[in-house]
Amino acid sequence: MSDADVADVYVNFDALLKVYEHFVRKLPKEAMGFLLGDRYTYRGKEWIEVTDYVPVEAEASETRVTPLEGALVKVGKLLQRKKLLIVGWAHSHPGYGCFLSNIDVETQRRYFPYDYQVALVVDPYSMEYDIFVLRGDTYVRPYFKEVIKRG
Amino acid sequence: MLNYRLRRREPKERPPPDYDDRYEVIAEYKAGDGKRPVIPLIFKFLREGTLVKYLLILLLVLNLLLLSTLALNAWAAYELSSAQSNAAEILAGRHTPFVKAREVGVTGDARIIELTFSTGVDALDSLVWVRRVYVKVGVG
Repeated sequence: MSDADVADVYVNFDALLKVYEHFVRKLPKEAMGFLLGDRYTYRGKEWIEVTDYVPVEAEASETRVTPLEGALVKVGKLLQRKKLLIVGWAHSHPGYGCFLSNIDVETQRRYFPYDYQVALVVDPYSMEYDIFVLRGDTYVRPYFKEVIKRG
Repeated sequence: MLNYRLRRREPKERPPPDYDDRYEVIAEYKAGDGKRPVIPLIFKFLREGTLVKYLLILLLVLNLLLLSTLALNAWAAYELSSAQSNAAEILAGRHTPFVKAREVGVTGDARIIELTFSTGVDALDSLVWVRRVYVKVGVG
């Protein structure tokens, strides 16, 4: 394996499963949460690992989701306890596919402005998902891998 | 508040999961590769549904056993029924190696011949429901 095969993002299966289960519970409404993990470098290349997911209590409809006041404080306390970073956010698009809407792009730009912070979008009906990062005015899919931790 | 740790933490040097034996890479996606990622629920089933998994494997094994037994019995029935019309030849040592013939008695002008199906493996033979048939072979 060469260094070029090092992905930008490694998503842990357990975190992915947590995201999916949360979003299915909230159907038919949208839901959201934070992706937790850490950032690393390897031979000069930066990569992140998504190891956990924390749901955020939110006011949601079928097409919109906004975090409730106080929800972020809970997340902050959890982060302190777990010694993890927020490496991105996840939200659901029930039945309308995986992409970032203009509002999503704005949310990403405003609240997750770092290069390594990702947006994970899941359509719980089709079980499809995708990961995006902002590059300039648009968003792209980074090179990412799903991993399972053995044992 | 969200960035409270970011200001304090620089990325650490660490090999990615590809180089780490504790991890297994199960899928990879690149920009523009056209692949549509799907939540791999099969792994949840494989890992968490242990009881269900073992029951399904047991069911599969039982099904294979049943199918093999049915096939073996069909074969035995075919061999014995074709041997019934050639009993005399089998008695003379000709015909199928899986059916043995033995004269067990005489009634009138006819001989009674016992035909026994055997694969040569006792365990397989014990699965055959009808292994033995008798046939009368007339003389002259």
